[in-house]
Amino acid sequence: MSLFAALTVSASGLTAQRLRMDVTSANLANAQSTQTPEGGAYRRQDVVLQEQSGDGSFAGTLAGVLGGGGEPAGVEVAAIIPDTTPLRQVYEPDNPQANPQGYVEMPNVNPVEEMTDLIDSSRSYQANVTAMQTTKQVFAKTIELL
Amino acid sequence: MSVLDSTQITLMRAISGATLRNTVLANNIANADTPGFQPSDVNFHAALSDALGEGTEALDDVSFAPEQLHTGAVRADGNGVDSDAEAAKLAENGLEIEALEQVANSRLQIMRTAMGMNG
Repeated sequence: MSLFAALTVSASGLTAQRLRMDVTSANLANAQSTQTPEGGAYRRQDVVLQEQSGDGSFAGTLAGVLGGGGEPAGVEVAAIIPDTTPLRQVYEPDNPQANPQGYVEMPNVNPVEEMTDLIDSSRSYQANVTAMQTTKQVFAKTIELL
Repeated sequence: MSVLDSTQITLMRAISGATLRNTVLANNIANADTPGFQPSDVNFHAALSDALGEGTEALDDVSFAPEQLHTGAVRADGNGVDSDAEAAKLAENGLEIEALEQVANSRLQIMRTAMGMNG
């Protein structure tokens, strides 16, 4: 067992939540982007998290086989997937990007949803920081034993 | 006979179990946004008291393993982590480690004095 395993676990949480914040910011920034390099309007991106399944090291695998449950390894980003909900149709006949019916496709970004996501990830980030501080205090006490 | 008595060894094993619990609880908090994740916990108290019941020999072999709790889903994505409960458990566990370490440290100081290492 690594002494600093808990710190690594919390750090993985910080990385994951920071990426969520990055993606949410990108969604907000592109709330009006009607063009993308892939063509069409911007589609909202969503982060999917998954539990890390060990570090793949020999020691970790052996502990998992011998002791039943292996040591927890934290969280990681499984994928960033596009939101497939329909794009918004806005009637703007004078817009050069309007279709023959006069509608422009706008991104499926809902700023309210993005703001709640942002608050959620920032709170989760803080929870991981608190966990890290507790761990750090405990380790400082452990070192005093020496 | 070992230099350390069984109380000291028990304290050391308890610290080791509580440290693993600390990692597991931190993992629960890190996975608070993972779809379908169910939290785990380490019941090191039970493992230790079982080992103490079997005698001091069993203390050397006592091992701790995380167990998955089946709390059910608290969110629509199947996640079962209650962040507040996990944070409370983490704080409590941290205090427990500090208490265990204080006792272990005091006992080590007494032993040092007995060995003439404290002046």
